[in-house]
Amino acid sequence: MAKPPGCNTKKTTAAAQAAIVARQAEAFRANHWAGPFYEPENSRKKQILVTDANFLLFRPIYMVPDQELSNSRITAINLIPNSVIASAGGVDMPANYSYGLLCLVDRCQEVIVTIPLQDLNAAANGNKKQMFWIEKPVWNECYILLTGAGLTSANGILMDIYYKPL
Amino acid sequence: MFNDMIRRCELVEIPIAATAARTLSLFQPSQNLIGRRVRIYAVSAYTATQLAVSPSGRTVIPNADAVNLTVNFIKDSNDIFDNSHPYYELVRANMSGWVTLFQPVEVTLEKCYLQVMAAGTLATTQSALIRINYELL
Repeated sequence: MAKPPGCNTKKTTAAAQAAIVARQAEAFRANHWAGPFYEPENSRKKQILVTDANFLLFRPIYMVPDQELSNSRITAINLIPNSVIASAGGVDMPANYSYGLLCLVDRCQEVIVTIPLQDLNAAANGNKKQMFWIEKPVWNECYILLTGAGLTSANGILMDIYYKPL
Repeated sequence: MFNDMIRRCELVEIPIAATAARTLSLFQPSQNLIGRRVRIYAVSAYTATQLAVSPSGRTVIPNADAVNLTVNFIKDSNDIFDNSHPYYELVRANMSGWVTLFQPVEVTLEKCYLQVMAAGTLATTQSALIRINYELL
């Protein structure tokens, strides 16, 4: 049946559609907006345990200074719950991290990342690590901000930081 | 298979203004974003399962109510470019860890809004939370 005037009668072939998707994927990759979810595995990894005597709410818990991380590109962060590692360094890991946020700060003293801790828990997100492209964060000014009760001095926040030195 | 990569991201809180069906609640961007032109390329939403209490101290909506909300994103030109996107679908944990990616687009955050489709157990003391991955223009 003839289509009314003005209708696009050209059919997009599967090959043309694939080319469009490939072009968009390349743009995402080139701008570091997205990447293959296995990519962090090519980075170095450092495990950090954050402990606190009180874990007070709405009070920043700053990271211990780390020159290596401050001069690197952070490629992924993974928080480890007790189903993966039950305890480390004399403290227990919580079952989940629905208690607060991680804030990353850049050289201009600007908070450039605010993300719920549970988003960084790959075990709760289809085992997909949250990827980053953060160059030279000021690590000792990055902090965790707890908004909900749940963590005690018997708990710790165990983080795998994937990074590439610059 | 691609997933999002964060260069800059910010949490946007959306206090539930009313719980009746078809009512709207506007985004409340943080001070960090007000007055800045941003282009977003990925979005993720949260329920109390991911964050029990918002940065402003409000209770976050329960996961069971994610199915009662849709999100509308407004372009800088005042067009709706993503109309009635299911909130549930933006919750990364509900989608096996995949984050919703957008063809990068400049948005007017103050005009974006949530729409209540059904009241469920929503309350005006609660907030929805959305994380936007963005770049400054």
